[in-house]
Amino acid sequence: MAACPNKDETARGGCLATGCLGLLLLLTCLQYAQAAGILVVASSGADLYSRFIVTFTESLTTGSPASDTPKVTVIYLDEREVTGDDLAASSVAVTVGTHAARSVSALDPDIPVLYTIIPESVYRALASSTGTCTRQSAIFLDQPLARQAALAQVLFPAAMRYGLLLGPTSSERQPEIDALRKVIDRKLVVNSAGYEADIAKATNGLLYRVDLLLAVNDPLVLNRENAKWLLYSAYQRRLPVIGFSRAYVNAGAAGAVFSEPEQMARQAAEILLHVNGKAAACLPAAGFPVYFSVAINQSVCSSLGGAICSEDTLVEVITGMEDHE
Amino acid sequence: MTLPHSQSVSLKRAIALLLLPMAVTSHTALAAATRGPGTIALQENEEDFTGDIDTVISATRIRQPLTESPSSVTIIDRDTIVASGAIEIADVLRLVPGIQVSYPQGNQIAVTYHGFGDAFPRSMQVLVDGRSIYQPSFADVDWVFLGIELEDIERIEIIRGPNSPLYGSNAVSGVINIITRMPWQDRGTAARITTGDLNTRHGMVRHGGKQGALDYRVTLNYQESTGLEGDSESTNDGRQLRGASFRGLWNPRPSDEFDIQLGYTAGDLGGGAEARNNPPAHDKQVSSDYEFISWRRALRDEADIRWQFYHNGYDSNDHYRQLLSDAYGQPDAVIQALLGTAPNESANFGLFDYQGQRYDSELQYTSPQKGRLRTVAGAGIRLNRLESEVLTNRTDWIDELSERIFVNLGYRASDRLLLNFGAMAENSDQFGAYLSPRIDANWLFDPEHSARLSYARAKRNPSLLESRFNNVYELDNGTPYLIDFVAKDPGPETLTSIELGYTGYWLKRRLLLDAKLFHEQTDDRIRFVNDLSLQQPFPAITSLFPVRVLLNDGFVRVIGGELQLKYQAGPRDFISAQVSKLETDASWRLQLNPDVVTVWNESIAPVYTTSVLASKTLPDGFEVSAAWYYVSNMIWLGDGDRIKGYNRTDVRLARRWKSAGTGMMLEAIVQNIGDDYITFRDENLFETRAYLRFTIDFR
Repeated sequence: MAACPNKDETARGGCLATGCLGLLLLLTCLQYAQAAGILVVASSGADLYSRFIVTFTESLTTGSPASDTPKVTVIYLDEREVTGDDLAASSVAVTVGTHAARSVSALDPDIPVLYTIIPESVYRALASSTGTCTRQSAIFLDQPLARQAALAQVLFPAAMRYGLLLGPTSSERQPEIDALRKVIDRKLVVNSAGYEADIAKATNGLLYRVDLLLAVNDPLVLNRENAKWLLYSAYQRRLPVIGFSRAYVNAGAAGAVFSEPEQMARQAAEILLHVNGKAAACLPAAGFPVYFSVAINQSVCSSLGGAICSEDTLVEVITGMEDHE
Repeated sequence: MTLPHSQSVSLKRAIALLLLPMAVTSHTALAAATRGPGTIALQENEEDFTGDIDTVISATRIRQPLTESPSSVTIIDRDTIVASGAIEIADVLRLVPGIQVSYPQGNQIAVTYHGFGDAFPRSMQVLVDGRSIYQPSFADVDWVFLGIELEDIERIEIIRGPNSPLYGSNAVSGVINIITRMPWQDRGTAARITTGDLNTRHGMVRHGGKQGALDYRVTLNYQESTGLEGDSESTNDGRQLRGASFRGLWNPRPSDEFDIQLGYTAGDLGGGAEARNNPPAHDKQVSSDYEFISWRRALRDEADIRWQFYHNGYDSNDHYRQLLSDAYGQPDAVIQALLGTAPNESANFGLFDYQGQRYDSELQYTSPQKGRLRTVAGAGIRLNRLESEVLTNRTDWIDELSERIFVNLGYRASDRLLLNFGAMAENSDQFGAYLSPRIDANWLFDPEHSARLSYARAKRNPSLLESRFNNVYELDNGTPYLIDFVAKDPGPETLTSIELGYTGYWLKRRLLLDAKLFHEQTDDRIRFVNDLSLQQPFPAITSLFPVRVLLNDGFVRVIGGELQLKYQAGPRDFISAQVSKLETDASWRLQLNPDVVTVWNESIAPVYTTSVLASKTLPDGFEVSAAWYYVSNMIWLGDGDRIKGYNRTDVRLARRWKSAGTGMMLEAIVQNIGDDYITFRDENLFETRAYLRFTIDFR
């Protein structure tokens, strides 16, 4: 059982990620203007989306002067459709959920749109079909591989070979993998699976060649049905799995990094506080969420000889590692 | 994308502009829709990030690291099973330090830990996915009738030493926990055929599929072989069996898992040599079935609750007739004189004629992983039933109902010190109540090296048969003429064990080393003794055939050490070695009235039991492995003999390849390349055997 590192050992001080982002926004984005309205389109009123909306509106309120709080209109797609008129009446739109993203994207909006609660692969498919990128941005549900790798390094410092299983949709992450290879002091072993039927073979091939697995989202290869297969086979081989949702940890992954809707809402509000009201505004490039949580399965972690750390400490340690880079 | 051909350029452009976004969108949609077989209209969405996954790594499945285990554990994984070249499941157990595997008959296997076994070893608990596979009758394990195939096994975990608090009664000398593969690991169809010496033909077909939230696996198998070669007349100890088994895993909700297992095996087992007579060749018709269901709910903070219920049924029909003169090896004139029978009279025989049933239900709770203490606690109830006229001299069913509760507390006293305390209390309506406690301490020098010290006391209640044995033979006119085994109110036997062990990883965790020293003593052993005070129905034959009574008598003490080493460079590139050295002394009575006590100085259990297995993968999908076994002189009890020490070398060469996505493997296995050796009884000769096995996997 490894010891949990002290966060001071890895953080160097200096700005937190949010501070850096804010600075970037100020440098690249245009001036604040009077509110014309933010349109929020949510896939439905389900818990996942309503949690986002509540935190989003609260963050907007607390982040702006009382006289200048942007007006927010919310449309729930299970109540009514979104129309071109709705978009025309707003200065910027925020979509919450994939269905909302597809619906708004299909209307070919003129106003800037921030897509949230959306997998990177879905966003990439939508973004290529409409307009120029600066008018569109997203906060992906996916976590950067570097963040999963950082958690892996802290929990299992002795593991030197990380395995990744890519599928047809996640193969687009290859550039990210190449970039990670350059900075990380670990070997990355990548296997590709064609379709769900291949996952058994592709995973087996990996299990024998690595010390740890990073689970990468790809619904064609890794879904609720076969995720348990991956977790079980990895556990039989005494391989830790670092996942991308709390569900992975509940199901037996040693640890996971993920972002709660509240965290993504906070980031969305921060982005919009700088661009709201300006029709010609540009949004920052689409990217991974800035705020994240860590979940650990203590039993699995200690069964596999991992470090025992508190989840909060891990968030701080990993944030420090990201600042370092 | 080709644009529609149009006469007017501007019209063409307008149409193109209109069609372009739709075309690209539909292209994307089409691409998404046609990616992969059977994935039409697949919508990628946030469900993959927010939806729940079925919990398969639950508290009951999570294993402590070996360095933190309170017991000595040996794990035989799938790669080891494959590399061993084992044809029977029980053969794999030779790779466990301290275990002896022997063949009382070609179709009967005896597995003991630290010797002291007869043909029906009773003091190891054997489980398949949590279901005990004990026979309620002889209370032994019928390794031929396990109802699962070697191919279905994922892993076998062996606990060397008593662990009743976690594994129940009969976990006296150890626990063998067979874990089968999850149905969703084996989707598609697979088949395997084995052919070889002893006229072996073994075929298996397996299909794994999914129906809604149910993942299932169905296996059908057929096996036949003739038995061991005797050195005198050939013995009839072959087998011909067919079986089917089913396993289904159903997750109605991610936190709930139902495991349903069903199995049925039936066939003929050849009747072989018995203790004092040689029956004519005849077949026993045997069938066994099991039904098992468990429900596990994963709770918060990695706690869980598990309930299981199972039923094992076993039916063995053994009937034959034989001339009394042949049965007892006496001239017919002597038989007539002693028993008053007519000339050349025959009688009914058949010792293995019985039916047994076991019903068991158990509930277990594992507490959350919080703080320093973790608790596993539970309770269970069991009903054993036996019906056998030849063994009990009754025609009705005999029942035994028992209840048990158990608790295991794991306390992390500090980063380096782990303490475990466990106890099981069992109450039987036949034998009363008893307690089996266990206490262990693990000291971790560092995460990779630990020492452990444990003390355990385990009790084994007599089996239903041991407590009700009344083996009476009758003439055709109903007159009893011979009483063989009679139970004389046996009570539980007790095993006390003290163990000092070490587990360590070396060479960047490539080498695992596990060693232990132990002192074990079994008191009040349940065994058969000739009682000269009891008369046979025809007193004159008493001196020839004394009555054998079953009671608690004598003790056995085993002191020794075990070592296991495994160096693993790759999944099928490894070498493992296992050694055990034993010193035994024992004392019991050879006869009662007058009492004759015997003290054993020479080793009943073998002084050395050694095994080595090496496996290597070669280019082009080839694999080669070899195993060497050595067991020194050993005495098998009951009707076993004093068996000389023997060497055995097995070799396996295999090739795996794929053709159009279908996996195939061909194996050539030779068991016992060297000299023949005697197993269990002087007539049983284990010769060199060769097998070919072909496996095909369609996915």
